[in-house]
Amino acid sequence: MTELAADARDRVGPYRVLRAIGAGGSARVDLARIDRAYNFQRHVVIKRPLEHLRADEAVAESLRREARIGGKLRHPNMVAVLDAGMHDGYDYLALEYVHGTSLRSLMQTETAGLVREIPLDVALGIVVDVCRALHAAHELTDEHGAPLGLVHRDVSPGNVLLGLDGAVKLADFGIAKETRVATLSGSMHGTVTYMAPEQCRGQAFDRRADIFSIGVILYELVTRRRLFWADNDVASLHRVLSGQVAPPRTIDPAISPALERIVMRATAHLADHRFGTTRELADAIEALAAAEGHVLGARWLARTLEEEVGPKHAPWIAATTIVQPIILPESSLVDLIAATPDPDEELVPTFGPLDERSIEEGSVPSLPTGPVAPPIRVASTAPARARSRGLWWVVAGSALAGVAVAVVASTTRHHAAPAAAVVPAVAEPATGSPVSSPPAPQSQVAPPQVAPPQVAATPSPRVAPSGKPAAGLGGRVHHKTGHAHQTSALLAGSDSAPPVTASTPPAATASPAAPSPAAGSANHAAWDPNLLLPSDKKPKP
Amino acid sequence: MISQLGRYQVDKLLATGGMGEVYLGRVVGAHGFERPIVIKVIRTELISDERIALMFVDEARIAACLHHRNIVQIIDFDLFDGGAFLVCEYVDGCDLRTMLRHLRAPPRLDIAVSIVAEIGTGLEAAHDASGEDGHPLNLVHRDVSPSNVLLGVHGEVKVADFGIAKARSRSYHTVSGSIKGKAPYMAPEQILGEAVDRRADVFSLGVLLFEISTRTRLYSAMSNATAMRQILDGEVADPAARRPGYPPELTAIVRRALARNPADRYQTARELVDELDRLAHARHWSMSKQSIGELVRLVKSRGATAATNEMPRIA
Repeated sequence: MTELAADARDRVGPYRVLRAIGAGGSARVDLARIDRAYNFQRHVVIKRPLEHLRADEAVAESLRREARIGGKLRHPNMVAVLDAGMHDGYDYLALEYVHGTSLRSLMQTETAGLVREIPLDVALGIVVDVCRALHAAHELTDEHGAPLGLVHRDVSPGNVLLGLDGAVKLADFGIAKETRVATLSGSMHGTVTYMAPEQCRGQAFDRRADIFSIGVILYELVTRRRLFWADNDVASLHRVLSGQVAPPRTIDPAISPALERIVMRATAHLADHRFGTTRELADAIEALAAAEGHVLGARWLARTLEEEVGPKHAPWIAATTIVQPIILPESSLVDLIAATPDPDEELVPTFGPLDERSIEEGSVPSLPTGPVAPPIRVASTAPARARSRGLWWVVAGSALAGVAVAVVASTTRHHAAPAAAVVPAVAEPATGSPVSSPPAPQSQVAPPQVAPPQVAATPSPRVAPSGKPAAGLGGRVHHKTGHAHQTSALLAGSDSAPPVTASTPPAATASPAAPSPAAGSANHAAWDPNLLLPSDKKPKP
Repeated sequence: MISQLGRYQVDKLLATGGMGEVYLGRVVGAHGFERPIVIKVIRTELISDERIALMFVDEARIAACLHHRNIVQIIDFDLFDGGAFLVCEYVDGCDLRTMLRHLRAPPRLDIAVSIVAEIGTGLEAAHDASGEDGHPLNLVHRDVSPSNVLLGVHGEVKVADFGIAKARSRSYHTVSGSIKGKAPYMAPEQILGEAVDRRADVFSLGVLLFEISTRTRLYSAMSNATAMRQILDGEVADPAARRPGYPPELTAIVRRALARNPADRYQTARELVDELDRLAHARHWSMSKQSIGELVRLVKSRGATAATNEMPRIA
């Protein structure tokens, strides 16, 4: 890992490398800066292949794929790809720099297996934001409008970056997979304690694998307990495959039944039992928040981080971490998958005694971290207290942070027969695409803000019962009813205040030119410049 | 028209002004990577005063340090033969001015409040920004107005042109000898040419709160002179008279934000935002970004041209 020492004279394209942030199995990320005239500076994060892999075509292709996806996928909750280029014969990406921490760091406690308490408003807000980003990715289409069937495959707390400004950003589409592109690689990427069972088994999977992963995160934030944590990845895998998820209320009865239902559905062992899309999951959480009085939003996260992490003006980087990739022993994994019965065929409680006790007694014994490589700290200048506060490094754009498990991938490299045993199914082009989803869930996914038909049936102030347009605010003749539904949901009327136009009787015969009483702002220019202004006062073009 | 600036592809002219133009463009990278961006060109030859050009540069440099989700991000800055250009993030959506023009009724109150709270959060971040050595930069936007607020289809709310407002306001004077269009959003002390601090932005935010929540103009849009007189007289219309059922707490917040004397206002944008959040909590408003995004899509569906990052006309 000595190669990670960043050289300040190191240049990548127009960017000057400042310092190393971290590295994964194939790529490294560095903080870099572009310098222009008049001391204009802008920080970015550069992602490029590790030195010894610069000629590796697979690594290059992974970066190019991330660039292609990043160019198309622009969402406020996604780490933005700002640029893609070639330097010295290798590919690099310039990524948005996120000044803050990662969800992994925020969740971390002194005790392995436990999760730091994060206010429920904040936790739900983070999960909703990640869901929105994932939905945008899942819905991505090619230039002909055909769905790509993109699956992130490594949704884990290490890949959820939290800016001090309260922004939640999902990182690393480097291993995202276009499931319609069937490959027989049989590789398994991802962070094992957040991976869906079907993904662990090497079976075909689709976006619902990502739903499982975000479901696990939600579970952990809500219960303050790691769901599939064990002292080593093989044991964790065993727990994932066992399909045992203790209902959150058995851990903390204060959790609301409605929230428990959402958590259990998102983490259902069978993909068919989960939410159909991350949008459904996000909408369910938002509906719950509205019903139970949680205010979601980045501001709460920003305030929390301010308290947890420190003041806004703290130095840019106090420490960086590198998490080494771990390679599971192939044979044990193969054996384990073979030996673990599918819980849907035969329900066998596979929790070890320790686990059972932990649930009953509300405490998890603290165990050594075993083969999971502890973070290696590269910045020796890091103040000791930064470590104790837990969270002060900048994680930027990388799963690097996540523990990349390249299990069967390594098997493949050895041309090994076991691979065949582990890879029973490969995604058919259609399997992962939304096309395969039954139509019913699709219609449920329809924008929730569109008022249901019965709302439209109630006398709308905007449309006269006769179907004749009534005068609305400002006396403008109104539009198609099609929009009225949406309008009634988003505009005045859904809150305590009645619609402004409500004071106009629905059957008002007021001519479009006559201002309605509610538009009594006749002396105040309404926003539409054509409204309410006497014609002689209208601005001359 | 320019077709290339540095390594950026220039596609479409969005606006022209006294200092230069605004274009829609693209970053074109390796392997087919593309990303839309907005390029603001400043033609130094159009600015007789070199100090103003330098001020623009200086403010742009500062604005580039403001990494915040509620501030339009500046991606790059470079010189070209004839001037300089800023590369800004492109927001798919519309500006607040466009939204207010295309709404046919006031937005749902929680959405209105949520938008204002987000704008306030961006302002707060800029007001609190400090330089590398830790000294406060004392940034004041000075031009918080609907055309400087961008709203995205995913519910993003971003304040644009932070940092260049100061330079631009001087160039207004230089080019036309008057300040145009922005008077209805200016704080009294700003109109009087007195020293301004962050509380001037709080006043402007108060005007926005009034206008978004009622969908009506607060100060005269027809005459700057009238608007200035109204502002200096401390005139504040009653929002409840414009929108039935207007929450009295919200009226109180509007009034305090619009206090004639800066000492009587919220002293920071954060105070105002916290007050709005308390109101939201009390009323069980979820403040979902999703709803803002839906509203933006509704406006876009009405054919509102997405004049994102439009540079206000200069003279």
